[in-house]
Parts: sequence; C-alpha cells; structure tokens
Amino acid sequence: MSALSINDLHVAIDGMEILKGFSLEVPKGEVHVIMGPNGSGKSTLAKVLAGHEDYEVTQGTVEMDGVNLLDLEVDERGREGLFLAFQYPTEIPGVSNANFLRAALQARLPEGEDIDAVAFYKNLYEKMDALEIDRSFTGRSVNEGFSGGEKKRNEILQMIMLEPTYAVLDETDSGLDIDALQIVAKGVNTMRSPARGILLITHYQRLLNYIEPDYVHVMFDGRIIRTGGKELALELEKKGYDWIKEKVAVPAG
Amino acid sequence: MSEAVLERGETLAGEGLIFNERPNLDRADWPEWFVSGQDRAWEEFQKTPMPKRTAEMWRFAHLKKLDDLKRYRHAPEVGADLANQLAGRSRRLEEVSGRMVCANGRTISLDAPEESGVLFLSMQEALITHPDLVEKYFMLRKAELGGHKFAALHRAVMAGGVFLYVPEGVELKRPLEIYHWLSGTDVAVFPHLLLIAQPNSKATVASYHLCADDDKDAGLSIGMTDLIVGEGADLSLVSCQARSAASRMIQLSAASVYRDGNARNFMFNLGSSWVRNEIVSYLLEQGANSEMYSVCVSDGEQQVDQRTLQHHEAPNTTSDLLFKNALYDRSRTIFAGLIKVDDEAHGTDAYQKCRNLLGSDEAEANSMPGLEINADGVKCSHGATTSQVEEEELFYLESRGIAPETARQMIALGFTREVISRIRDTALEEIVSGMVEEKFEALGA
Ligand SMILES: Nc1ncnc2c1ncn2[C@@H]1O[C@H](COP(=O)(O)OP(=O)(O)OP(=O)(O)O)[C@@H](O)[C@H]1O
Ligand SMILES: [Mg+2]
Repeated sequence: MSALSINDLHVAIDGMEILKGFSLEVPKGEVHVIMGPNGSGKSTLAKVLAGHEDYEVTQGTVEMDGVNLLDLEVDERGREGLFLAFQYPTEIPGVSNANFLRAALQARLPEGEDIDAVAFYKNLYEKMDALEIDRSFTGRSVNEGFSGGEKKRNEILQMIMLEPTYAVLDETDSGLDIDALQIVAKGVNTMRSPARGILLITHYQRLLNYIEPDYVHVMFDGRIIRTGGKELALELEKKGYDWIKEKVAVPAG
Repeated sequence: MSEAVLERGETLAGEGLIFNERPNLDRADWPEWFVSGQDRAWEEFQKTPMPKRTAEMWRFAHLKKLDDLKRYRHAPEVGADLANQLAGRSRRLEEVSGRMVCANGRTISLDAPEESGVLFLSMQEALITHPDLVEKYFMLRKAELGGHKFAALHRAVMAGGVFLYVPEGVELKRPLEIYHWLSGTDVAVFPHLLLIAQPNSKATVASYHLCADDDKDAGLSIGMTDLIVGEGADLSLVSCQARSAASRMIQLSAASVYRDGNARNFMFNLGSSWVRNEIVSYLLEQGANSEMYSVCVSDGEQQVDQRTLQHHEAPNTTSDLLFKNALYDRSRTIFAGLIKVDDEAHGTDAYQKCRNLLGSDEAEANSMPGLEINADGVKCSHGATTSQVEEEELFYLESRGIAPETARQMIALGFTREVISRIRDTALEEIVSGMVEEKFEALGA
C-alpha cells in the first residue's frame, strides 16, 4: 500500500494514445529512474500524475498509498503529497517566489491557521542557501526571467519546502552546469527518506553518479520495456536505445 | 438622507441639487479672478449640452449614467464625531511627510510637512493666503477629452481640495497622504488637487477616495487633479479609488511637464459603479517625461471609462502609459488613448499599452488605442491586448496544492503587480497592493 502504484495506464491526447499500458510501482523509500528516447511519453506520464486536464486517461489506475489519485483534483493531489518538478517550469508574472511558496504551504494548513511568517522566511532562507539560490529570488516573480538552470533549482527548492511523499522530477538535471548538478543532486539526496518515494526522469546517466537509484526503467512508446539496476543506465549510455527497441515488437501504426 | 427618483429628461426642483444650484460658499475673502471665474463657469456649465452618444469622446459609454448625475446634492459638512472618527482612520502609511484629511470636501485635519517653504494647504486657504500663486497654475488648460461640461461644473462649485507647492530643490522624503472621505447618500463632492513641483524638487502624493461607511454611503465625486512639474522636477500622484459599490466618479487629471521634468500619474480604480477618468499629459519642453499608470479591478455591473492623451508639444520628450484592467462578472471597461505628436516634437518616444484580463465571459473590455503623429524621427508604439488567465499558470500553482480560486486570484493580482511596482515606494506599494488584494478577495465572497 505504501507506494505510488501505476497500473496499465492508457492516456490519450486529442484522441492520440501516448501512454499505452504503463505500469510502475514506486514504494516509499526508493528512488526509481525512467530513461527513454524523446517523445516516448515521460513528461506525459508526469503531467497525468499531476492531473493535467489536457490528457485523457482511458484505462488503468493510479494509487498513492491506496488513494485513487485519478479521482482527485490537481490541487488535492498536491496537498495529498504528490510533487512534480516540471521539465519546463511555468513563469507566473507578478507572483513573487516567496508569496507563491507561502500560499502553497498555507494551503496545507487547516482552516483558520496561519503561516508563521518569521519561521517561514527562516526556513526558506536556509533551504535557499543550501541550494545556493540568491536570496533576492524570494522577491522575483516565479520563474520569470530565470535562466534554465535557475528554474530547475527553483523546482528543487519547492520540493524541499513542500516535503512531498512522492516526487516526480522531470529532467530536473537538464540544463544544469556541473556545479548546479551537484547542488541539485545533493538537494534530492537530502530528500531521500524511508517515508518518501522519488521518480526521476532523465536522459543522462551522469545524474546517477550523484544519486544512487534503486531501479532504472527504460520507457519506449508509452510503456516500460526494460527494468534494471544502475548498470542499465551505463549500458544505455554506451549503446543507445536501439538495441532495446529492436527487442520489442512495435505494432505497426 | 435624500432620495430623488429621476425620470429621463426631467428637470428637478429641490434644494442643493448640483445641476440646479451652487452651494452657499463664503467667497468674501477669495480673489476676484477666482470668484468671477466661478460665475463664468456656472454659466458655461448651464449652456453646455450633455455629451451626446455620437461624440467620439463618449464612444461605448453608457450615457444614461450621466443623466443619473442630476440627482446628487452638494454634500453637507460632516458632524464633529464623524470627523474625529475619520481623522483617526486616515493613517495608511506609517511615515509620511504630511497628511491631509478631507471629509465631504472640507479639510478636517492637516499635518503639514516640515521641509522649509513647502505649502500644503486646503484650496480654500490657499486662495486666501496665496491667491497669486494659485492663479498662476489653476486650471490653465481646457478639458479636451469630452468632460468639459463637468470641468465647468467643478470650477463653478468647487471649494475643497488640496494645494501643494514644493519649492525649488526641495525633496519630500516620504509621500504625502491625502484622504477624501465621502459620507451620505446621493451627495456630491468636488475635490481639487493642485500639485506644483518647482524646478528640481521631488514629491510623491498618495490620494485615497473612500466612503465613511461602505454599506450606507454612496456619492458622486467630480474631481480634478493638476500636476505642474517644473524643470528637472519629479512628481508622482498615486490615486486610489475604493468607494462603495453604489458610488460614482468623474476624475479629470492633467500633468504639465517642463524641461527634463518627470510626471507620474497612477490611478487605481477598485470601487464605484461608474467611473470616468480623463487623463492628460502635456510634454511642454525638451526632455519632459510623463508616465501614466492604471489598474482597474471591476466586478458586478461596474463600468470604468478611461480616456487618455499623451500630448508631445516639444522635441525630445518621452511618455509611457500602462493600463491594466482585470474584469469580472458583467463589468465593462473602456480605454481610449491617444498619443499626439505635434510637428515640432521630433525625437518623441511615446508608448501606450492597455492590457485586459477577462475573468468572466460576460465582461467587456473595449480598447481604442490611437496615434496622431505630425513629426519626424518619432518612436511610438501602442497596443491593446485582451486575454484570460493562462491554463498552464493555473496548473502550475494548483499542482503545488493551491486551490483554483486562490490560484486565479494570485495570478490576477500578479497581473496588476507590474503597475504597482512602478510606484517605487515600498511602503506605498504595500498599501496599494493590499487594497487591490482586498478587492480580489471580495470577488470570491
Ligand atoms: N499537448 C500535446 N499535444 C499534442 N501532442 C502532445 C502533447 N503532449 C505530448 N504530446 C505528444 O506526446 C508524445 C510524448 O510527449 P512527451 O512530452 O511525454 O515525451 P517525453 O518522453 O517527455 O520527451 P522528451 O524526452 O523530449 O522530454 C510526443 O509525441 C508529443 O508530441
Ligand atoms: Mg519530457
């Protein structure tokens, strides 16, 4: 029960099927990695989990610690403990990073209870310092004018502040310089806990030099076609995806 | 309390109706030029016809609203208890250079700035103690955006308001705060702001238009603000209108900017059922700069009608305009803006942008940006956009656990932030932002 369980998930957009029977279980305490060629459906999976309304679930189930995720609204999923680090974080003009985080934390409090502003800023500054994010970013509009790497770091900051039970990180390592990659990896590692499951989507084996995964899955054409350990990522790095693709029968489209 | 039910076209008899009578003012100590000017203006008001549907300056406006104005009476003085209470409530900014509180057009409390030579007086008093100074700057240009009948009425009956004179080289460290309280139903006030910044001086004025009791009071304000910005001076006016939902307002605003001067005029419309703003800037000498900003958050049946003119009369002058409207329910906004560049005003840089955020399918945003360029070497751009809250922005906020209504509110408030942040006074930005936020919160209620 203590897992993010995705079972035989079929998802379509504008009538076109993108996830085609995707199944995966991420138990608490584990770090799973999904790799796969461009367009194989990784971001689609991430957005469907978060509840994006453009995607239609035609079949299958998603449960988070026994709760039917597909029954919940987007914001309810967030409060229930799911976090998605976006591949392309959205810019929100005029909404400051600090106010945004505060609203997100406030949303998790019972009615009538208010965030302690002093404690909030203390905590926020601590986490920002650890991620080497300049404090001036609290006053800047969410993601607006942030560099690619700054956006990714900001996603990690949000994850650390919101302390989700399950976190899906969609290519958070893309666009990071070598130092930033280490900082972000450190951030993710501090979030590793027996009480938390993490799903990393990445294209690069090098991330796994810093974050030791429990499992590596290869996704192709809307489902997982192979699962292995850390060494699978190394193998992919060397050989590319073709050797696995060849092994799966792709139904003629 | 008075209530006048008015049939269309009917003329009303009765005491103190603003269209029929002038208030009993004690004009004995006022200069002759002012008094005779009032008399002439009253005649002009009487003979000027009401705006016509066909008039370009009133395009899209619901003219029926103008007929309704006939039912208002001159606002009586407020009692001592209420005056005390209002004076106590007139403290938004902690630190100010000066503060004036007006209730129904009379100044009820005044803290004058300490800076030497600064005059911060009620208009009544300024007319008595500094008549020549007032005459030099008072209502120099004719209202040219359609509201001249109301300018004449204002000139004929106005007795209240604020006179500010900042001498050469003096900088007011903190903003001045001015409160215009309105109390009563169907009462009218005519606030006049004459703000003069002498060469190389600097001042920021915050001006709030409020009702004493939002549940009971409903009135009409026909106000004028005049900004005179001398050489190298810097003058900002931040007007916040948050009157009760049944109130109305006509506000005519002009800035005259001299060499290298800088006029910044902000208008925040949050309350009132019907608002007409006419906002003009005259760039009179080389290097003059004018900035016009507006935020409107409208809901219910609110109508906010704004007409602007950026008039470049001298070479190498600059102007910028940014208006933002967030519309809800069946509210309507009108923006008609003109950039006018005279033939000698080469080297003009002028920008104008109106952005509408529609929070409802039934809301209606009308935008009419315009250019009239008669010079060479001019850089101008204008544009109006209308959009809705972006789904991707909502999704992002909601994915963090923020409820959809809150997320919408945050995005809409964010939309107005671009204007608020131009105030460039952190404390005042917070006050204004709080008022805008309050309006957004009331929307959900
Ligand atoms: N909103 C959309 N409209 C149309 N097609 C879409 C939409 N979203 C995704 N797709 C299509 O679905 C497929 C999977 O896209 P997705 O973004 O999930 O891939 P991905 O595995 O994340 O790729 P990448 O590695 O490039 O990030 C692609 O072919 C994409 O074009
Ligand atoms: Mg992707």
